[in-house]
Amino acid sequence: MRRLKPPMHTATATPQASQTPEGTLPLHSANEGPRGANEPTPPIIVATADQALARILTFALEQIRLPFRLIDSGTDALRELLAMRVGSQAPIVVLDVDLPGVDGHAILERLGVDRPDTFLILVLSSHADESVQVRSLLAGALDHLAKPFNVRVLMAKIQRWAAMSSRAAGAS
Amino acid sequence: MVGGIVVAISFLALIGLRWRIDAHHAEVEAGVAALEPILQRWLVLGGDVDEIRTTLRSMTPYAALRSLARLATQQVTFERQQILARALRDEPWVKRILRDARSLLWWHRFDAARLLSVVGREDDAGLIAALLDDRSPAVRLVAMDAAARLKARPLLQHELDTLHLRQDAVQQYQFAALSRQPAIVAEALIDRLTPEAPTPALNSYVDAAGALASPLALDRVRELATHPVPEVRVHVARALRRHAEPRTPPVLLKLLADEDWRVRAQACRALGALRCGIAIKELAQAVRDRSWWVRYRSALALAQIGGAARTELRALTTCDDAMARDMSTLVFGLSSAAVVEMSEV
Repeated sequence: MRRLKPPMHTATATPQASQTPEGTLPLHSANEGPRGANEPTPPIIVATADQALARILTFALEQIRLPFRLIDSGTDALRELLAMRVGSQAPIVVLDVDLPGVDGHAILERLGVDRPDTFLILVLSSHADESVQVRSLLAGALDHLAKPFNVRVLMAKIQRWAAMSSRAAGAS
Repeated sequence: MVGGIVVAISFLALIGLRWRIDAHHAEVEAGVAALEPILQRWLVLGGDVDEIRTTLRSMTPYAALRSLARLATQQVTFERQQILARALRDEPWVKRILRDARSLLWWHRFDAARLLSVVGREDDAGLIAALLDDRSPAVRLVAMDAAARLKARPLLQHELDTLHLRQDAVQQYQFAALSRQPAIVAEALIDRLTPEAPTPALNSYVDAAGALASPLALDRVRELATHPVPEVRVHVARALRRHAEPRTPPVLLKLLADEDWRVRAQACRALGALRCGIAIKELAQAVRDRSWWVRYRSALALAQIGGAARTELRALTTCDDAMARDMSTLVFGLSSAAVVEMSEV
């Protein structure tokens, strides 16, 4: 399997990240982690074959200090998601519809059958059509964003979901 | 001898052209590589656009335009493009490209239209109007994007006036562009959605109202359900699938009894899209319609509504009408995702 980056990225503190201008995404120190040292971090899977999108998501996820894995093929994404060991926290999946091998909708539908309610899935698509969005949501996605989307909004959603997933894991 | 010289010159010209294309390509790729990380920082971290401005200024106008247009289309939302427009509109390289907006060479006009789709502002309305009427279809198409950026009413009126003259695919593109200014487009459409409007134009206005899903414009569309021309009623039924409002289902039920099968089929589609539970009985009856399309659309609508409608669809798989039986069996076997997708095409 070819990955765009090494298997799992864990963002580290950089001088640039600590000198954030006012009004930017909230940043966290490397020691603290996004929600404090004691809270676990759910894994984030980003499945996209769009190189430009992968680059901007890598940059954005590094800023919010969440560990993530990039996968650039539908076949690999499906295989990994079906085989992934999931603990008490629901992993977050950012799934591009336009994937080679198996497309995002087919992955969603397969996960809906084989691993329902296991992942928190956000679908990205070049199409803003009502039918595409409805199809994603009915197949089990929590949200659908049409490209080009606001990266800061996406990051805010991921941060929120990660916090909810951690809290749910703590409660159970 | 002369023939040999002509061949040699042609050969050299081809090599020169190839070299020029490769050089331009490399220049744009280098521009994109330089601009992308800066743009990403701006999109993710916020801040001002000075760095973007400086980077673009260091490129040739050719590379700056293409780098900006490519990345802006892929990564920058419409709201963020407005900020870029304000920051870049008075840059020297921008002014230089826009000076060629009335050039005799179509590719210069194309570049100008493409740039206006990222940095255009209100005082460019005259220029964009001229590009909307350009003799090159490529320039016209890009000018639609440029027009969508502005809230200039004359531009909008011009676009609506010519909407019905466009090909279907171009119309869809134009609807997407118009949807960036939904409020003023809806306002302009309401004035045009009258029974007296010529049929081709009226059809395109109804389609635009449906594409925009504007409640106010669709209220006016609903009033056209009794239009004497069947083509208009077809467009009305189709557009109303985006109008989830209590007064819409009764109108669609009337259209479901229309004498024209195309109107009945579109009414079924709309009732399914709106998940109209009150229409289950009528849709089940429509599965026995004499027209294949009406049977198909009504069965899909029942599957889309789900619950009791799906039970009704299952009952039809064993009914005494062979054609209704076949259709309901076909649709009942579809997955929910297939039903959603097939209902939209």
